[in-house]
Amino acid sequence: MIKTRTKGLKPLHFRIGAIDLSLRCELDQVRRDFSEIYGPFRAENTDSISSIEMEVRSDRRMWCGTRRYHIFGDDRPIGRSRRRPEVMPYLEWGINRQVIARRREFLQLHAASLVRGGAGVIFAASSGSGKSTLAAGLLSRGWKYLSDEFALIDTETRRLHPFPKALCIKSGSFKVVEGLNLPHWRRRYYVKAFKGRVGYLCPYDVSDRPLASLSPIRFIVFPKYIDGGRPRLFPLSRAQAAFELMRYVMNPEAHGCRTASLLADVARHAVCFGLESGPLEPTCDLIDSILPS
Amino acid sequence: MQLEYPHWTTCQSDFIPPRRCVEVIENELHGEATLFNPQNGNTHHLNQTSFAIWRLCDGRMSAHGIAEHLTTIFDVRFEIALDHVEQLVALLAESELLDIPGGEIVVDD
Repeated sequence: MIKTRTKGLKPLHFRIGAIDLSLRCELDQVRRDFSEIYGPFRAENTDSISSIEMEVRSDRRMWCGTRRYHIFGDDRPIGRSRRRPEVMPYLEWGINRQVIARRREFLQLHAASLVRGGAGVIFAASSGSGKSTLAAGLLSRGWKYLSDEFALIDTETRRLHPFPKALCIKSGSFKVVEGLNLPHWRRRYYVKAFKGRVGYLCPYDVSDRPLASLSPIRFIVFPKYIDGGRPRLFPLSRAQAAFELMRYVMNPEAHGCRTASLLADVARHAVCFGLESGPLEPTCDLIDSILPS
Repeated sequence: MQLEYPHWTTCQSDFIPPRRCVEVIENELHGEATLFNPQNGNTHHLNQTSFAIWRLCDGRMSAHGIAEHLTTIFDVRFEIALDHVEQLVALLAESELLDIPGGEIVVDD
């Protein structure tokens, strides 16, 4: 039996770029952490129609006394865990899941998206390719931030919308991010299933004005981390890029047969590269040298 | 392992004109293209040469005719062009992007 006492809790409202979110959470620590990480995005209220409603509840199994934590998205159960350090990553994952399900008007790519000199740059890659670490590195160099996980593309204007989530830094990159002198995750770690320890970095911890607004897509980069490798950028044809982007679409069913044409249109107006990334600093140097400020 | 050409290409390409499936969605991008097949949800990337061949698959021109046409566009010998055309047509047909009127792909065991 899952307790429903969160209904009595006042929801916290957030406006994270294009995404409105409200959170009811009965775990004090998670509520505090979330409020801290997303503090700059707190809102008085949110759009009740498009707002994503997240809820964290817990129950106690009487016969053994252990707790289970349940994540709900828009009143539906979407995940549960027995371990408290997993709740925050599950909550983040749940938010992503709900964005994919609810914000179907966007063409959504699994990509970090940043802006430099008004030009939107998509870094499309699968999980574990170093998108968030690369985003942190570029953010520390004055790039503007849209998202570390989503490229939300307006299907009418082909512009990128912001969804400036906290950057999720995995344990393998802790030292690298420390090297940037970023006050990341405030030494608070969480555990993400299959991925180990993670920490969160609020974009406002990197810069006073880190966020970008709606931006046209001018560059598409496909990063792939090569351990110990020397960073290398190489050009890709636009057709190759459109083809590659197809594998990173998170909501192809929302756009059906239009998806390939939308991606082709996105690639048509962009310069496209493959990137073999190595150590963060030289990789950022390389990207900085190719992409105009 | 010895790879062999699909059997049909060497014996039927003289007279079977391949035709682009009408439902395939083509997106040209600076001389190259992506093809999306709504029947199976697959996407394909064609480079410049492949795209030129694809565009010539109009249901009227046989592989021989396409190869002859390519020799007028690219600096390529007929035999080499025909080899490329036959291989690509077989691949596109296997991917259900081309109709082969009155023909079917038969690959030798």
